[in-house]
Amino acid sequence: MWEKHTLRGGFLFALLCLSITLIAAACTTSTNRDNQTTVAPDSQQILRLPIGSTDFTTLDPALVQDGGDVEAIQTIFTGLVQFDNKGNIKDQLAASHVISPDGLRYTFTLRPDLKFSDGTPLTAEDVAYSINRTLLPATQSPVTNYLNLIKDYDKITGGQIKTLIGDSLIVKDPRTLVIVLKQAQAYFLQTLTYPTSYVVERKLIERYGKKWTDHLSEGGGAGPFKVASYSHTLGLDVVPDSFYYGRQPRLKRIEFRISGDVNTTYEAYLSNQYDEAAIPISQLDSAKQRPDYIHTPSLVLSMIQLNYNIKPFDILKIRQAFDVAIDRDLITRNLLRGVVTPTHRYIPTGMYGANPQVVKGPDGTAGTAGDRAQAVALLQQGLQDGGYSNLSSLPTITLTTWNTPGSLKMANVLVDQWKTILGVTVHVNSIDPNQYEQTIGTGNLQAWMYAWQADYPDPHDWLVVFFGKGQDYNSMHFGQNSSRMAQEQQALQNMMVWADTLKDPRTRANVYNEIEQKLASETAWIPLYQAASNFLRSPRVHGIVDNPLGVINPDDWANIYLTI
Amino acid sequence: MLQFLVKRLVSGVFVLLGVSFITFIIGYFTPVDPIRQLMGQHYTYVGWLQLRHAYGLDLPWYQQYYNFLFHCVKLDFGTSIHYQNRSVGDILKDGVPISTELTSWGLLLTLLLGIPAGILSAVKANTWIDTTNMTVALLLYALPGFIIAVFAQVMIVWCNVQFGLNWPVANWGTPWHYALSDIQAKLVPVLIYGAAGYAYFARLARTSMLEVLDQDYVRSARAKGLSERAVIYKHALRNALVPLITSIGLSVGLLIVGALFIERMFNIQGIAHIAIDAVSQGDFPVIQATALLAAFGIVTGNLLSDILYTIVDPRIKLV
Repeated sequence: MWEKHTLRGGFLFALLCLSITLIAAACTTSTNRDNQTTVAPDSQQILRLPIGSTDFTTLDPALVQDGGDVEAIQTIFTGLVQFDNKGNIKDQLAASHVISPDGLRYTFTLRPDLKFSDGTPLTAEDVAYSINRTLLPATQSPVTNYLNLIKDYDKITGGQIKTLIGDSLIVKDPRTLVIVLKQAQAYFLQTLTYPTSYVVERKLIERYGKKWTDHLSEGGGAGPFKVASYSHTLGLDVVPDSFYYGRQPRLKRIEFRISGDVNTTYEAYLSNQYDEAAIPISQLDSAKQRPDYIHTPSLVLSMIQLNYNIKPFDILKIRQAFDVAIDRDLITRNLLRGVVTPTHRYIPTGMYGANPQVVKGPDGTAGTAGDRAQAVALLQQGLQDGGYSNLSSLPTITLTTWNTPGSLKMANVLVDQWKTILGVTVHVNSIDPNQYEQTIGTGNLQAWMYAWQADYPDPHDWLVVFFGKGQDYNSMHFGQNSSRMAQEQQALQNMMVWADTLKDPRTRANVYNEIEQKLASETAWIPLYQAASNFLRSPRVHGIVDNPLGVINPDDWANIYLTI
Repeated sequence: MLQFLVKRLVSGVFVLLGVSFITFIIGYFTPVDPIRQLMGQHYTYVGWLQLRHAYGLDLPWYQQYYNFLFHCVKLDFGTSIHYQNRSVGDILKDGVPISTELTSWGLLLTLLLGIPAGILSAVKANTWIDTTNMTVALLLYALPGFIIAVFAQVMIVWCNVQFGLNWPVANWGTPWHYALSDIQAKLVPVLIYGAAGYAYFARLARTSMLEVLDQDYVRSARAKGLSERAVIYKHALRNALVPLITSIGLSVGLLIVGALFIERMFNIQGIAHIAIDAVSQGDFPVIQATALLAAFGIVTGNLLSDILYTIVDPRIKLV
């Protein structure tokens, strides 16, 4: 009997001790947020960044697509050229570069004494190897198209030739690499800023094959940080790379943590377990009042695309009427809580090529509140142009959108505005997000909502990709359609091709601005708003320069630190 | 016994084949194009063709299914489409220990608390102990796991903010490691997992025990003058356990499959979490492998139940 009591008492005592210990441990690791002026000691220079509910899709620069993956990769790897925090291209691994007069040969001279994070020297051969590896079919990269300007790109990705080294990737000496293009294009350096061309360490890949990114603690990159540990179920820890060629980071560790969905991550941030967190829509209003709220426009545009090959959007005035009828101000204020910017732009602000002047809509003004009278007048003219006797003779109009609550709300608001202003009934067709891209790709939709994020900040990635001849994303059939506008559109397509051959960046930007204004006047699509990043960042974090590109200049890590 | 095991093994293989075929066919005919989804904003037609070929998705369905089965025999479930550099086997290797740890601790808690509580309720039937116990069990059973999880998470955040604690809101820590930070992370999810199971087993054990206590042989045992403890533990309990065995066996079989809502809510990277992500990512090799794993768990659990029957009640023969 005594034994039994002792056992039970002992168990309860142990439970009590455990509880006290756990709570005490929880208390001792909490941070005092009141005093944020003193620079934290090295032991506390740990930046804790949440990455969402799943592991990185990949840490292989040759495969990366996801923005979060890119953020981590850019701490570990660097490329020949990269962006500074204003979006200007700067030499990174390269000390300098020279473009031949015909624009076909780019000669890069590397910085002296470059090394990978394990101390192995990094030479021009490694750069050539890395770019070539991305393009090999065996790598199975979904993002080879960033390098499609390189001569014989089609042959190597199609498996017709085994290597570009010695062909269009010419290693002159350990510090000099020449890249030969198939045609002169002004935006080539922009495409090189994407991680597909970042330098990776050959010996690690040869040793571990596809699993090489699981062994990054042994080397692999030449960035400001190197991998300390990587777990597919916990996350990634990086520490300063002592062989980095630039200034050493002030942070002593970055912890990228698998953090759960946006709500869970936000709750964890409020509990001081991360230094940054995205804001759930439901919390946006209260979060905007917080001192740690950060709002930065991002290079993302939301728009409605209209198919020139499907009636009635083959008629200019009808397209314009649908554009002018939309009150973007109302939508952004009420539906999107004022965290985005209503716009007529086709190239977002905050990047090279963005029009320094206002971009006017089809009504000839920069206003984004819509114009009821003009919309109705445009529709009437459109009906005449299209040979429609009245509204009821218009074909059925269907707006396709993602089958998600936010998108459906937006679609319903648009449908409502069109009904109220124009008297036109538009049906909503919602599609599973997993099938959205492929459905649009059929080219058979009439009107659909879409959003695009810059792959690289160049007007080419906005205008040519969607309006260029033969482009995979030109599902609107701009230029190649049976409407009366086709000929004029083809002239614009030729103008885009010409713009990409211009060497002077300012002239080229001006040409693109002109094209953009023409597209906006024609309602080539209906721009809605430019999105923004809205998040919370701990006031302990200093030195990060937020910019629309969402990139941190590798050398900026020397200025980023934490206070206590 | 041997004959029974062989029979069950053969039928188990057919079940697994059936599951593999159904999941394959569903994946094959689904309108989701995993390669299109993989390429996202970087889609080009030529690139799409090349990747489809690289993954063998341009082969006829029977060829793809044959390849899948052929590799399955070697426990090679292929390469994930979403996580391009990772084999499905690797992904499962990460998820299974986590799910197994969560559910094992949860099941242990369930059995250690739930069955005794149910038996106590039966023995003290219709007293305040029984009423309280069953009310709590009913409440826990009626409340969906994700509601309890949400509530627990809100409470953690509230405590953290109010009292300056730093209790983990989510995550699991290192699997099968028990540093203080690991215990902190694991405690709440395990308790929540255990709560629902506790309620189920407590109610099941009570019903089963009440039925047994009403049997003639229990009455005879009491009439022989045996102590109440001997009657309950030696005569009633053993027989009352028989119906529980089925449930325990199935629960053991499902240990590897994890707990969907809890893994999701607490960001635990177990098998259930992996399976749901795979569905949203259109990652068919992972979907197929997790479905097979679940089927394997259920087949094994059933087998285990049958074997446990014979141990608890030797009168039951396996033929």
